[in-house]
Amino acid sequence: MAERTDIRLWQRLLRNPRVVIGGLVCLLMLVLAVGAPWIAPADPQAQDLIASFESPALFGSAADAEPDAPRYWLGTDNLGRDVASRMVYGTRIALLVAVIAATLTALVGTLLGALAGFYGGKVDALISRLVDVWMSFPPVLLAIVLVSVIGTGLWSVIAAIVIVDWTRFCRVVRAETQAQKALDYVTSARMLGLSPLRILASEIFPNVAPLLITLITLEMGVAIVVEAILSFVGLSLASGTSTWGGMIGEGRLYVNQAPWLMVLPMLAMMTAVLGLNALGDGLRRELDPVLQR
Amino acid sequence: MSQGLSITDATTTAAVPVLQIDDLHVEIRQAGRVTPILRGVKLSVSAGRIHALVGESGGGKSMVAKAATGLLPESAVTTRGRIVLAGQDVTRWDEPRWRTLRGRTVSMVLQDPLTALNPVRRIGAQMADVLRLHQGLRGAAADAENLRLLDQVQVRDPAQVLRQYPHQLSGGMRQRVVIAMAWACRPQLIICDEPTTALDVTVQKQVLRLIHRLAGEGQGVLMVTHDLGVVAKLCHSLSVIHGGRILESGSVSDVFAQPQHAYTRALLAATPRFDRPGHTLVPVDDALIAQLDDETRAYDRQQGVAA
Repeated sequence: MAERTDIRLWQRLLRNPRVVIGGLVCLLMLVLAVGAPWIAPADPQAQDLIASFESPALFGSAADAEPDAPRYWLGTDNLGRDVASRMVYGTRIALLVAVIAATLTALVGTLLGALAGFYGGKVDALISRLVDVWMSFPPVLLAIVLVSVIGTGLWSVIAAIVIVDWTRFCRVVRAETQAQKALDYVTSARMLGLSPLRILASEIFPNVAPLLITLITLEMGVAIVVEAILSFVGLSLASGTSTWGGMIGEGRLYVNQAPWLMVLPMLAMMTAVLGLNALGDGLRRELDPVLQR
Repeated sequence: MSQGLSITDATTTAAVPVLQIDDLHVEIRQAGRVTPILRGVKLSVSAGRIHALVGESGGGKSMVAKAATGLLPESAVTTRGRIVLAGQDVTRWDEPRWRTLRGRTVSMVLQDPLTALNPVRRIGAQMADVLRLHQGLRGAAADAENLRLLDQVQVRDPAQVLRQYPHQLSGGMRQRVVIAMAWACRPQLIICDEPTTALDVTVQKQVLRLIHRLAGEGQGVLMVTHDLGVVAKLCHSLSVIHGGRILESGSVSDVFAQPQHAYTRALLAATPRFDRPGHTLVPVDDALIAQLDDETRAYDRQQGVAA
């Protein structure tokens, strides 16, 4: 019986264009990230100095003159590295950062937000003041300072995102928990003798969950952008590693000569963020039984 | 449990009060201000009886209901009096101790069935919580008990309802589910906080009939309401509350026949009476309310509380 309703939910999800488009974008990213070694046409670090600044072969180019030369579908950069391969490997980093950072951020923020919203009083005062102080720092600056203190690398970037962005979850979850707590069904649950932790976990949390799904997907988008910003200023991974932000940063230098070096990774980033947001929004609409009506 | 047993329960314990409130004074202390809410409330609910608490909005009805379930807001302070619930003095109990009573010894049916159920959980899961917590029932045993409870509150197709979400049910159905949950562990006292106010008139009647039937099994019911028609049809005794003071108490037949307090008379005059077709409705006189408010203030001064 439960399966029947689950199938209905799946059918409903598949009918929602946001979910489908967002889902396809995420699926594409996942496939590219997991299958990078097989999908990428070339080694992302391999330099072909003779073929530097090759324009994308997709639009027809000099490669036509020499049929035997390797084709660079999305062109090459200043060192003759294959842009397509670098973007595929960049997807891997972007997705890794997005998933891990968003999950950890959600965990920390939700825990603190739920405690503040549910228990109120001193707990709330303490956590809320902390959030206020935290949010008074400019986020990107804070991230840059953090990474320069704790050093560069994948985990530093993730840590910086979590440390900067937990407040986003904390605020929203706190407000929502407060709103839910005031509703009759919580009084009703208390009246039936349920313990506070149980009420928080099994009564309030499911009502906050649809919101969390949206927030997590939005946060994945933010994480991708923050990672790109840190790469852009050279504070993410070692410059050898392919990242979208790093590619944008390097491409910026040659934007007049080879605009695709900057435009292509930017497009990839925009598609990823838009796809994630569409997925989050679509899921929220479909999963919320109240909106469903 | 056999029908015969519950009837003897009802008759032998009829005189024992399951809820006894004596001289209860509660005030709200917030931002340096002290506001008295309950001023010497005294009432008692016996097993197997339905006692009505009648009054207008803001009169302290819901506060009495909250006090009797330990759900008073944190800013509320009980300054005097005591509450005895099922033989235990619970006046100053803390939250963990209250939790041992709630659902098991006392439970409450809230006013609005639209909000009293968790919108994102199936009915079956919500009902199972109570059974697991208080009776240790799980899985198939809990399912069977859920079906039995829903059947008892006359829900059609209970197996289907258990799998549904609250928004898929009508208001009357939801209130039946809420009542089933409140009754699940046979608590000695059930407080119904205006259980029919949010329902259609035809559904009201069915729900009241249901409460009447369930109360016949021996539980004490405190019926918080402003509907004297409900009181006349359903309840055995009543207390009239205004400004946190009980103005009059007694059996329904006595009070309706010979109301002692002017406020009770005014309330009765403002209620449609089908037993007296010529009866015209009279709104409650403003002067009377003003006089009552004066009395309340005088009481506060006498108690030494700055109004």
